[in-house]
Amino acid sequence: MNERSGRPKDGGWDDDRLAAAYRSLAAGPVPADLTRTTIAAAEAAPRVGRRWDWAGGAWPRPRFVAAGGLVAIALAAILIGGLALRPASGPGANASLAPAHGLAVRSVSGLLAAEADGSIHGDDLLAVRGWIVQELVPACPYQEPRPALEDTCTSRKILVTETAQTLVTFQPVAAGMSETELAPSGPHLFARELTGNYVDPVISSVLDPGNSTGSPYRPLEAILVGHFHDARAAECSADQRAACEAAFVVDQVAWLDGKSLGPNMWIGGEHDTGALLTPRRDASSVAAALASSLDPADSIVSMSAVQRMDITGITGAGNFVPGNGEDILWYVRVAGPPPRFPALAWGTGNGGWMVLDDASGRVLGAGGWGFVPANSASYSPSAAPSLAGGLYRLPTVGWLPGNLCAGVGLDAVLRGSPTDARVAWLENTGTNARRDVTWPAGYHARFTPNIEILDENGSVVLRDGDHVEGACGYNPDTGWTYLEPPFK
Amino acid sequence: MVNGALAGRSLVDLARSGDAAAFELLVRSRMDATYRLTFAILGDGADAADATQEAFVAAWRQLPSLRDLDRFDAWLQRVAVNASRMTLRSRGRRRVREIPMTELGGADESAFGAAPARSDAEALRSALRQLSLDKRAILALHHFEGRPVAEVAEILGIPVGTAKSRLFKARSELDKALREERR
Repeated sequence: MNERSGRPKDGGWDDDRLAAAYRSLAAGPVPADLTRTTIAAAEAAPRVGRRWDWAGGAWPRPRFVAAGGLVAIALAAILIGGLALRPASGPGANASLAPAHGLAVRSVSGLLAAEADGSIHGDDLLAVRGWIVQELVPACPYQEPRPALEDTCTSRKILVTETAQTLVTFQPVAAGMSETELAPSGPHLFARELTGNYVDPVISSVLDPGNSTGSPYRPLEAILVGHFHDARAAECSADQRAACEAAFVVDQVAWLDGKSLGPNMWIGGEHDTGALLTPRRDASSVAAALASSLDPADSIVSMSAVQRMDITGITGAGNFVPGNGEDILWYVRVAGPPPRFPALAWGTGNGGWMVLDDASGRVLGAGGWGFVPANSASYSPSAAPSLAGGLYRLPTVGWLPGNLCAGVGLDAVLRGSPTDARVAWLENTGTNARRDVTWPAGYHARFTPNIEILDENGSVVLRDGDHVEGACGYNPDTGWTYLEPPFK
Repeated sequence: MVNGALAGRSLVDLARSGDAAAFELLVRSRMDATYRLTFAILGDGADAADATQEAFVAAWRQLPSLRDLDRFDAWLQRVAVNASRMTLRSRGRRRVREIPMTELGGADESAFGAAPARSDAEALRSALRQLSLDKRAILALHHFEGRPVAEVAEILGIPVGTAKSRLFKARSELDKALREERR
């Protein structure tokens, strides 16, 4: 207590007053039945390798049933119309050949072998058929937050085996029941989730003892769509980096226990309070807002509603879109060809993501499909920036303009050359020093014959020699300056 | 309670080895304190009940891994803080919030003597809602439980210096939120 300052606060809240308010706040009686229900719940919770009392014949909760209520809403089987929301086809009579978004469905061993021999391209979407096998709920102590893909006690992992296996069994003993949990045998992987726990509720809806027959520990046959080399692997500590890169991150449970499911949907919580977000749009509305931007051959894999301040929890720490942190955004995973809008420097890849503003329905950005943002460490200027139609590729980020920027001062003019790898740059007024710049998504250049900068809609926004007084941001580590309108 | 720490240790030891009756006694003796800590963190009776139950279930499952039996109470508080975090994350599921007795008046406050002005508790509850769970937890452990910073650090599993700076930041945020509540 002697560590307390006791200092009067601006509003008169010294430590004693605060402590008294706390005592008053928590002064209510303990709910009458809480002790009894707590003891009953504890008795029903087994301890691995130890004897426990059999409580009324109820199954102890497996991982996914226990986790099903965490902050998420998973709406499986969104079987609504529209090209972009087609559910993946199920395995039917010949599961190994069945498509999921047109992807070849691999076995667990086939998936692991392909990853091991390096034949998988980046974070391409992959489909794997296996068995989701239940484990016991781990009891974890308090833990400081860790990078999303690092392996910790509280990490959410989905055990997928090549063959059907039941790892948790129960045997009657003198004092009640004893449980045994075996290690998985044969090819298997511990998959991770893209965000939140949207997979768990899908699984728990099948495993809930009230909705199914038999043990909740029975294995479930599934087709999962996901990817290796998630962007968030870069956030892992050095000793876990390789494991994070090799983690199979699930984008969608496409088929489960005999049912073909539509896009998996997840609604996140508010950053500070955890209260469930209340987006204006539903799945159909999100798909409709994206329809004109997507390629007709695209299909939506999953969609997640998160606050803007939490978007890097999915896109990775360096891939941040500035603006009001409390805005609700939709992060949508897409399978198929790159979208028609925005026109980015797409590489090769069979899937990617779009981000949509819930309030306006405006596309804010995109990534994947081999696109390398110009503000990333792996970016290198294109050796052949010339495109069809007289356009030249500029180094861009994945975010469209129109977001809030901190702003940095400049005093420069626009310059450009069709033979320069970066095509356009700024020349400081007075010193004539060159400053390389990065542009918003969809920006291009053309020469008529002097340089003109076109925005994402094809309108000219800057011309050779135009004065530029402000930028959106500058990163001294990478040396890139990000420009977006207004330029003055 | 005449058995004191020795009996306390014995109960923990028995519970650790799987004695359900011993664990039941532990639950009964720690229920009140654990519920009040989770209430001070979460500010909601139903959430506190959920977190308390989860904390004891986790404690029962995890007791075999507890090495230092004398640290059981600090360890249990750590588990309770973690259970509060999980409960806060799941709060979105609950569409209808239960109104605790302390909001309706008539709560039994005799255990803590005369209560300060009711508005202080209400202002504190509202202000805490603007803080993250981690900040609420460190504030509750220090200002409600009366734990010194070193014990707070041990319970949360963080260095003492980190606990100090986090406590300072949490208190600053709380002061700001309290001032806004008073406007």
